[in-house]
Amino acid sequence: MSILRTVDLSRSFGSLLATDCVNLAIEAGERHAIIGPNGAGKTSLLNQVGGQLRPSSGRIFFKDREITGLPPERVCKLGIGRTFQKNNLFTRLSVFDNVRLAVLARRGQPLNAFVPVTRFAAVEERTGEILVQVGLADRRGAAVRSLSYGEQRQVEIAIALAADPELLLLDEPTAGMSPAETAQMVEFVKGLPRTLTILMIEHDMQVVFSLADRITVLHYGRLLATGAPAEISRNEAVQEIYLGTAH
Amino acid sequence: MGSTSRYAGVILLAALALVPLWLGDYGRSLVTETLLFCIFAMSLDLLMGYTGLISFGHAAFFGLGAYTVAVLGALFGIHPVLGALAAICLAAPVAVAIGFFCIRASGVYFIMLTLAFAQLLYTVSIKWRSVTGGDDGLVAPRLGTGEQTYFAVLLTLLVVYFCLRRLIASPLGQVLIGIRENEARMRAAGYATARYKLLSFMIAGCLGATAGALFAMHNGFVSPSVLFWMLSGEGMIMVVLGGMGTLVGPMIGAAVFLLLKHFVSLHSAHWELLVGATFIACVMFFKQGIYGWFRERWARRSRP
Repeated sequence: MSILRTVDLSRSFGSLLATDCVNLAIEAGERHAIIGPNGAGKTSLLNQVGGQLRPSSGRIFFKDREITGLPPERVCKLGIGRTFQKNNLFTRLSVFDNVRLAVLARRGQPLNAFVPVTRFAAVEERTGEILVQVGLADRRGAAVRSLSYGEQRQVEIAIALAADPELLLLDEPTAGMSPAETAQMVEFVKGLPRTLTILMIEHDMQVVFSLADRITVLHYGRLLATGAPAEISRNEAVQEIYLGTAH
Repeated sequence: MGSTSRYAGVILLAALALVPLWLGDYGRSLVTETLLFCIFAMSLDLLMGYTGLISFGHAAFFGLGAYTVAVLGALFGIHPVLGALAAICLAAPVAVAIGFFCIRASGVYFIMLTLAFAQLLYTVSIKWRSVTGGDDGLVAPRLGTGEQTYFAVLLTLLVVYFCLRRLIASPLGQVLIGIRENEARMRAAGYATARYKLLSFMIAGCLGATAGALFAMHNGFVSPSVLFWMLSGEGMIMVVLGGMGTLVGPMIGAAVFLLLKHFVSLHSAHWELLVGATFIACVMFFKQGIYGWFRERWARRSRP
């Protein structure tokens, strides 16, 4: 079963077609990477799935339920978590508070105005678990802005995981990371349970080829090819347009 | 720091309890007014400092509260306590209605819309002479003696302060802070932020109306100035002067502002000049306001 499908999805900015009639099907449990040169419309595509951007036309289905044009909070509640290309965090709050806010939305009582937030044992426990999972347990009290860039990327993922998603959207999870941090992130994503479907945008080909089951190549908003990593690396159109190696 | 601030609080509270013995009628009246403006400033700070909504129309709720007490008292002879309860009940739907429109906008547009709604109510208070008395204003029922009013205001302030403290520490308070810090991220994390902002607007409106209702029963008279944009601006000055995003800060801001206003205006008609200069100095040199500045110094001193 496809967990995510887009049907003739298009989005234009003025005369620019950021997404041009894209038909994509992501299978449940798959690790799917979207690649393409700068300006290929990768983030625009992710933003339409995440509800940050309304499509101009076409439809999006999540588990066969149409989610086209739903606001981000609804998309999140349905089970799609996401990270952002640039760290998009609550920088003045602590690591723990960042993740707890996301956990509260899922398992807390966010409208409770009388009981101190620290009294909800289930929320505190789940927040602690996620911090252990992403390897930030010893930084829980630190303000997010005092963290290294790589650590902030981990907070991004922690917030996305706090929504208990079935589909995780990762927008360049290793962008701006050192080689050591990148290797750690790859191991981390590999270690995520296979029940979690992952759709990621990534520039680092090594990361893509070590993580992805299938790859989709976008070029000027259009879907150029979809297939297993081996097929994609053999594909001549991809080599010519994206990798720039064939002549 | 925790226990020190608790001692400071107890001492301040004891001093406030003795105010009617110490000070004469004028002093007590001045402190009463300060205390009710503490409520006003704190309620505005729930929007400005905690939710990140810069409202330039908070006088709408202060005035609504004051006029509700005055009109119900003058036209129907209703007791001001009942009038105050009515004011709070009326402020809730009015805040939801105003908030519904304002929250759709952000930044400067939010500021201008809140201002516009407050000025709308101001105009109503001037034009609807048969009910509000127009420019002449309206005599409001007093709560009782000056001392009784003083303690009623002090008690209300304490209740409001402790409720807000609880709210800030609660899940809802944390969500509001999250919206202030990064609204787009809150939405991606599953929060329908518009609903929470509206709730914050409503709570702030009800508390602003509470302050206004207390003002009417303390002052015994209500005029359109309680709805004028200057009052909204003064509230903002109190919040920023004292320290936005804290509960103690706005109270300090209200006290400093009103003390400057009353004592300097005794000696000079240019008291606003001094308030303005203080405000500019505060914004330029202590970005966290008076309370924020003290807190920072204290933290530095007590660090090992």
